[in-house]
Amino acid sequence: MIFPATFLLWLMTFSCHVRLHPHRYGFATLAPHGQCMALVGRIAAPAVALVLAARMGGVTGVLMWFSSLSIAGLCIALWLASRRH
Amino acid sequence: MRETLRTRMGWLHGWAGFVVGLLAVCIFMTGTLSVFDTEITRWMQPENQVPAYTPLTDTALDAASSLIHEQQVRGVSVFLTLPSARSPTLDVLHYDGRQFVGTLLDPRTGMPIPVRATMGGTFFFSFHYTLLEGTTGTRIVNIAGVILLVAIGSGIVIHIRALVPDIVRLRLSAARLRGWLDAHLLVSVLFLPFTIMIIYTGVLVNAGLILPAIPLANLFVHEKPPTTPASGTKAAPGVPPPLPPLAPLLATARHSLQGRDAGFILFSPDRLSVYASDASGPFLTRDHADFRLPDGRLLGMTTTPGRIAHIMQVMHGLHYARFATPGLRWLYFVSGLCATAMIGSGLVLFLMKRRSRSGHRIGFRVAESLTISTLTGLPVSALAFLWCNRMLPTSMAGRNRMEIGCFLGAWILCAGHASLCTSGRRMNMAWRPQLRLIALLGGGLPVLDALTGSRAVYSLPAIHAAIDGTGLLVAIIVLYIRRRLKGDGE
Amino acid sequence: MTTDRTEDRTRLTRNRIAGIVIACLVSYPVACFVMMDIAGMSGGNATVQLGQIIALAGLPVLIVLCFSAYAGLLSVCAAGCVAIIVGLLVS
Repeated sequence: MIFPATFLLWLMTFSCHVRLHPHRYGFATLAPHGQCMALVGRIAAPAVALVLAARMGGVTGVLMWFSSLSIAGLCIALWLASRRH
Repeated sequence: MRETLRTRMGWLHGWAGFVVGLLAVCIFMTGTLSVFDTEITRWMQPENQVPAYTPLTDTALDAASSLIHEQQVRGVSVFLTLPSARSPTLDVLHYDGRQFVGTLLDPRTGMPIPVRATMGGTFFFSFHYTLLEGTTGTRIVNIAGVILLVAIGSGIVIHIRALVPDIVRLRLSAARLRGWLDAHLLVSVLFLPFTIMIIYTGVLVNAGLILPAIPLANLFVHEKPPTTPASGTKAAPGVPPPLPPLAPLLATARHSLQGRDAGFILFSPDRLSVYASDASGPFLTRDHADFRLPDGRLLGMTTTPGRIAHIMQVMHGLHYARFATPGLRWLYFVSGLCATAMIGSGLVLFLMKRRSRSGHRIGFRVAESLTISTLTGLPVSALAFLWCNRMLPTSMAGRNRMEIGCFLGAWILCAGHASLCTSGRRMNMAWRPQLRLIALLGGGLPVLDALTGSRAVYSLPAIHAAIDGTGLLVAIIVLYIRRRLKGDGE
Repeated sequence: MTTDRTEDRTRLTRNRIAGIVIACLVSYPVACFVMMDIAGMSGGNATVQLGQIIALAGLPVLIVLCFSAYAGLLSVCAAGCVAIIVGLLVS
């Protein structure tokens, strides 16, 4: 259950990241309040994911955290590409 | 032309990446397959239908003991691999100079399981780190690893500014070169931690081969061949005594190894050593409990203490991933595939950027044919290896050699086809048939499995579904790429 | 004009090849010296392993640094000299 949770948290992180760079990814610019929220999300979500992953044990947790980062990033990128396509 | 840090690093990234990338694709692809080497071996031996977590009985251990004693009497130096979650059989093995061979015993009854001779998944594993060239190959792999790290370092310098903002940017609808560059950057940046970790730990596994712990001056002194044979290599005189019952020794060893499972047992004339299983944790240790022969009295424990030794054990553990659960193993597999895709897309980009300027040159065509024979030829030969395993008669003598022959033969044919097509400057004509062949072999894998090992499919559905499903998925992806290539024209 | 550009490119490529050869020739001994300095400390096999861990992590960085600019090459050479002196002092 930990991998899906960290994966979702990384999805959230990348979504926030995408909204913080609206021109690069073709989104409308966020209001200052929304930008602030996205910034907090981008920082907090990976931290929570790391805490969750650490519960699996040192080495396994770190591996899980990084691989959920990679796969979540890949999923977001593919979704963005298909949206533009 | 003005030389900047970025252009200089771009040149280094391109050339270092291309020169070593051809080799790196082979190393990464076979390394990725090695993540499931035991499972591939089980797929390649459908006669072995022992389910996972089958309990080990004393009868089986006694049978193994007598078989080992029998082999020792014949002067064969054997060891015993104990059942694990991935490989539930009791294996009495010895090294024949090229691979570990021996008898597989049923952990319930101790009866030998008549399995076909095969190279199995260990073929990919040994190819991954030796390129089938022994120590020379391992040294080449290590040097390639360092050059790959240099290519990654220079790549980071080039893209440092857009690294974070563009982390999930992929423009498939843009120009072809842009699309390929985005795809290359996407997999490179997202899988950068994994790629660096796996290359660095891989180089560290055989660090002594490129950074030997001897003074530099001694490197140029010729080593004299030993004049007298080492005394330890001779078989012990006399008949070795029968082994004590193994079950109580395993219980004692488990207690001495702080509850860790035993992985394998080594036998010497006066003692036997029970080693901790590699699957017991991320620290890949060689901790073992020694027992005196023939009475089986515990002699003591051998461990490697110290912080540095533990760091090294973690590095080894991270690379071999033997501690990994099936889920983590799949993450390793996916990450390995993406790292392979990173190198593969880099190779394609290198050629695309130079096609307009150097496409007519012979060097370019050679580079292109090598790229095609690596990117599509290797998957074809890996799949041909699996097909060959099932097509050859099970009782055929030297069938494991035939499997290697089939692997290399398919690869040579692909390389020949690629060079023929690129010499005529028909690049797509080389990619497309080879992609079609991958789709055919990959997509046909479930059918082949069902026709030639249907009983094993029923008894071990997870392993067979995973391997056949992966073959099918590869076929679908390859057909999609082929369609995209068709859209681009000749 | 075209000939000039071709010559320019050839010269640049020659410079770069010389640069990477020098970078490798300088960085590898420096990494070896660093490893041997660390291995020279008391601790037996463990310090050799530590030396290898550090030297192998540093080797690609040293090559990139050497190749990047003249200043990088000089700094790696200086690091190598320091490693040799330390090695001599320790031994």
